Amino acid sequence: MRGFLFTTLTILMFLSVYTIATAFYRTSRLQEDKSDIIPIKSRVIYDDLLSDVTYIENMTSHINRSTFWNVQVRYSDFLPAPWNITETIANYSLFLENVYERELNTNLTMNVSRITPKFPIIPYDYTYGYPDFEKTKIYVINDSTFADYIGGYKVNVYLASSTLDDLIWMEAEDFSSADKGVRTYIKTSAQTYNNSYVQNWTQHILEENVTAGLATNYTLWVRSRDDNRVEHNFTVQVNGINNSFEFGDHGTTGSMVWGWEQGDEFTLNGHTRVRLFTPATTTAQADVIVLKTSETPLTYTFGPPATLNDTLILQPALMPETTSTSISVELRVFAGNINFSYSENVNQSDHSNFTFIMENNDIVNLTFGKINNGLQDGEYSMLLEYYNSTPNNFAGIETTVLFETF
Amino acid sequence: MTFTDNKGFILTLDAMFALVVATSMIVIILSMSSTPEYTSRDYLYSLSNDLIVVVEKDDSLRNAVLGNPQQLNNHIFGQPGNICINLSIYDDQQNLVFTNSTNCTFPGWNIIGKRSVPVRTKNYVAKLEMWYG
Repeated sequence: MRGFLFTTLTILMFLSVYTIATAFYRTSRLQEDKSDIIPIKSRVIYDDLLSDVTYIENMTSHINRSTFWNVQVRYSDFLPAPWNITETIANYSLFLENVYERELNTNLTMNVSRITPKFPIIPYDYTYGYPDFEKTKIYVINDSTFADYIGGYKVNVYLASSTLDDLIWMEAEDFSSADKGVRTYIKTSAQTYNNSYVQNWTQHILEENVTAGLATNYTLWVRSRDDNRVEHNFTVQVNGINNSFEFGDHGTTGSMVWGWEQGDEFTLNGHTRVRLFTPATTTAQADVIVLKTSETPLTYTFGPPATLNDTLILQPALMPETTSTSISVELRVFAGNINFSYSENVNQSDHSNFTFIMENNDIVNLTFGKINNGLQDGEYSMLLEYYNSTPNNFAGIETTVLFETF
Repeated sequence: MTFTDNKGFILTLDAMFALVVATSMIVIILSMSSTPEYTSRDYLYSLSNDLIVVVEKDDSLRNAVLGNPQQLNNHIFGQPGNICINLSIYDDQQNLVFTNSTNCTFPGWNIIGKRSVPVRTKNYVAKLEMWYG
């Protein structure tokens, strides 16, 4: 009996000592060389691609729950869109398939045709969206006869006026050959920006197609390498019109130096084709081609960029900006067979179409449905349409649509 | 001789029981205190996932592409001291647009997370690498 007890206790003590040794070993090993952590290569963390699409559509949403029975769903939006949504979504789809899919090493497809500019607001039986991807209109449709909700627009107008600036930045190496069989020498380096350019495009045409976001005059700027020899000059053509002089002769001190040259003004609107070609039987070296609506920032922001980050700082804000300039903008509201109010509940129930003028920083509240005459129990829709009554001036309109239950 | 007649044996047995209990307590305490909560692979994965979600949602990635990297840098250098981070953003031509990292030696293995980042009309890939320093 005694021997058995001693044996048992000895085993227990041995196990205790072993456990202590194991615990110390494990802790020491983790703290010193971390070899317990298995290498994980190319692990993909789940990406919310829908949020990317929402960003491209330039819309944000908020849900406020003040009480259980009072829910507000807010959609903030901008009219007009600061970029072509159709084109941008198509580019994003190509990016997913050609670039991101390779990065993730998995199959990834986005059916662009299934992307709709309509957003059902569940469970409130409302639909919010755009009649088209151009985003000049926003509509709200009540899809059911259940009318225990009210909805409304809150429209804020921020006028951008002529300060709205657009810049199209084109890297020369992104240009493709307009005529087949052309071989260009593209030297790129992630570390040194200056080594990214296109050269040796003798007697051939390089082409890039871009979209001008504004219908106005754009000034051409070109960054190239000047070796003080005429045969290295080249021509830039915008929508079939040649710049009045050749580039590559900015005259910066020193040989083989990069520098900027200001070109002509071109009137652009939407699709724009830019071509580079050399008139002589030699080579040319181009770095960047820029089309810009305003010359104002050039004096302090333009210059040979030392890094790629420097060049990106030059990108202007395309979102509307608030200015003190007074510009009238028409917003037309089409509301079928409903009562609605605006500007502090002035009842306009006799109207089905309504046009009003808004100026900078104006805020108009539009409420429809549950007003004065009781609940609106039929299906109805509301269309907010943007018109710019002042040519060559631009206004950004932030709209907030509220759906509220009681 | 009966079992209870031997006082020396009882004392010895009592001491050994106490030793076993004490040893067990020590083992339990050490095991609890040395649990490598912050040195596990899962923690690193969770942290990298959280970080890349945050920098995506609060527009740090977009702002970095637009030339305002301060917000993103604050996230990179705001992590625990034993966490090493390298965050790079590439455009669709695989050109490096942004990169920054904590002052760590790259160990050869790491957690990698990626995000697609549309910025206005262009698209970028953000690549987050994280490892223990």
